[in-house]
Amino acid sequence: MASSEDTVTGSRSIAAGETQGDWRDRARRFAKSDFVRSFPFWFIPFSIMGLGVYGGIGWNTLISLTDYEGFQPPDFTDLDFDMYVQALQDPAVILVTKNTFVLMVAFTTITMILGLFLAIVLDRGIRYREKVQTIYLLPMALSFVVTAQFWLWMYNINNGLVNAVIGLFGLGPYNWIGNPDLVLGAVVFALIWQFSGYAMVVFLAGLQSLPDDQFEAAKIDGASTFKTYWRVIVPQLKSSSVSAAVILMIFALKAFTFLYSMFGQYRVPRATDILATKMVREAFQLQNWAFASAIATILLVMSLAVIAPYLYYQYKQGSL
Amino acid sequence: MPENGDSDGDSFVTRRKMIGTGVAGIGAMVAGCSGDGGSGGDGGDGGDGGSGGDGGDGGDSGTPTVTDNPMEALHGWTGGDGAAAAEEIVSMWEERHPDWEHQIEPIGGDANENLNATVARRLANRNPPDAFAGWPGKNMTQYGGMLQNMSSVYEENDFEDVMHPKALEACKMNGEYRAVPLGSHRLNNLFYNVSVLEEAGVNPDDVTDWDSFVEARQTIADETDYLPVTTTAVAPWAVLQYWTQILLGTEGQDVYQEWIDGGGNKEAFVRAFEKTQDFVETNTNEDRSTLSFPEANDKLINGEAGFFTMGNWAAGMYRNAEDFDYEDDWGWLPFPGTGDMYVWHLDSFMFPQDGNAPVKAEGFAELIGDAELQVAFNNLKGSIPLRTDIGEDELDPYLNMNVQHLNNLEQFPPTLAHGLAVEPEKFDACKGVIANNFMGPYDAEAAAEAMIAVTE
Repeated sequence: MASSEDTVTGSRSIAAGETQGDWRDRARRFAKSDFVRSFPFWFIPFSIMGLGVYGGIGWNTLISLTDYEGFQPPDFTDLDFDMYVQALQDPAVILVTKNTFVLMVAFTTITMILGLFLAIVLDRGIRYREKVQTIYLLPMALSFVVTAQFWLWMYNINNGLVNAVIGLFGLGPYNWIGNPDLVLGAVVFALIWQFSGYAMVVFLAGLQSLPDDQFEAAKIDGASTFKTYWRVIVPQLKSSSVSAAVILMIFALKAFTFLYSMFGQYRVPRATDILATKMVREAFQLQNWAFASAIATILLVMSLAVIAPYLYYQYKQGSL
Repeated sequence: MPENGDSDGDSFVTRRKMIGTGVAGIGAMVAGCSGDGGSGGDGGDGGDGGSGGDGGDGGDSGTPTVTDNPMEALHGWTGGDGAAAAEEIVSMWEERHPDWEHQIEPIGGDANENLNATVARRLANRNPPDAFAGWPGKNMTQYGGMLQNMSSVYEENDFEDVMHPKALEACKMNGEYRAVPLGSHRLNNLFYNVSVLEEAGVNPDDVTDWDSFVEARQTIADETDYLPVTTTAVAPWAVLQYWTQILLGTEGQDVYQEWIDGGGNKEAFVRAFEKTQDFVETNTNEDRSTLSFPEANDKLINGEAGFFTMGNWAAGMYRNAEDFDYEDDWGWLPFPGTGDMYVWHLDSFMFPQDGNAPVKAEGFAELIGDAELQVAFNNLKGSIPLRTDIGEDELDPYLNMNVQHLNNLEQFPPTLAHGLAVEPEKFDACKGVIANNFMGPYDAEAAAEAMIAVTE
């Protein structure tokens, strides 16, 4: 083929030879690249995650577009956003969204402030620092089921520990669970107790990575302790606080386990009804699968709205 | 100069390209998954729609043969006397069918909530168990089109002649029997602690209607330090139950039945709700919002409280308590005003179509309706057997009294808080009415209006 007198053909064959060689080269380089050589390592977890997490999310969104309910198979030919319209117009869904939002904001901010305070106290050095640290962190190791049950006992109006303790200060016994104005606060307080140790650990790590010179420099400049922390130290904890906030918000959205264990059933008091409990009721008690999927997607969008600024922030920093 | 740690130095694959490919790959996977789900999803021959479509007689294409699969039956009796009673079912099955493998399993407690969720999931996934425990009647209508026709079992064993007619009615759906009744609990009970009432000087025979009950309550409060009434208000179903009993006791069954059928007498409801508020708030334990019913019942067993109302599964706790005997330590009254009613609750086993072991399932159905099993199970569980041919000496005195009532009373209002009065969706709406209007601040007007709207 190469020995043809036709120059055009000749050049074409040479060009073909070149592209052939070029293609083989590229394939060879590809086969030797890290991407392919590490294939057996990353493929399995990636496919499990893809199937389990993202596949599940996709399937859920697909169901929410149908009208699936009861025991008959879903009809995929008729996809629409009816369920979302219905969900957003349902006063019960609006109420639980409000409750979810309140729980999320109150829990996250108070836990972070408390965690920061504890971290600062520990960082300044107190006796038995490691033991105190462990004690603060221990509640996070407890299962929600255990925590919920004994908080229920502690909130008992007659002989619960909480009323006994505040009784020492002369404050009357409060009906923490029975009073709809107090029950959400009671639940949030129990959750704060469980997770402030985590926030403390994150901030402590952040504080310990700051150089000591800053404290000395601030003292020389005549700043009070409070000003030192407020103006100099805390602003440098931005990345720690962002990551702590994200994790805490995710825990707040998972408060379903706590509520279910506390009240022993899917239907929790109205003031503590959150999107997660409503979704479980709709799906597993009433078999309104598509409506529950719509609520689940709304919950997912809320979580993404929480994480998105963090991801954007990381992207801007070039770490994504 | 190496980039990204590649030894070849090629920037062929950057992190961003990988993310892009990954997303595209996932998209492909999801499309693949949903494709399969769509076409593989329509199995089974279950009629049309979920609202009681005619299920037909699945499985009568020739006589089904015995498969090797174990017979799977799910129930919700995980603890206390329920577990002991369920053990009876297991041991009797093993006695009668030693070569038939079984998988009779309990699933999480709490008024069948987990059991119902598990069953719903399995039915939706086309992987039903061979039998599951549940409440028939209106509650069974949610399984319309999914249950097997069990009339042949009824015919072979003459269940139609032997079972209580209300039970037969409740187990029928779309013209055929699809469930076998196991035991009935009565709901309109008022249990009392004998010594507390004696100390207060209250004669239980005097408590015949609402006013005398209020009087008795007040007497206990005045004369002793004990709680007149112990209640549980942690869950809407309990408050719903109280309201139902009070409505039946003070306004009568007709008002109740009228509401079930779609009407609603608002003044009567408001009165009943006001009385319910009084029942729950006055002279009761303050920690009712954090107590479950067994804990509330404990107060009566411990002698701290006088009265307690609950379905007669609560009597199981009395039987298990040491030294706490019927008529010596605890007594029974019909809930004030409901003396001539038996508020009707029914436990049964239902049989889905397309189970793995249809012949064994029929054997199980036969076992459930069998007299020996009904006596053994109900004696332990504290419910009342549905067969009318059980001798008096086989059951304990408290159960015997209830059997007499079951066989001789004429009014059987179905229980609202246990799924027999209205369909599951409306039942949930009723619980919602209580949760939204009647659990903290008690708003009788709003609750009455919302309750009427549920069945309209």
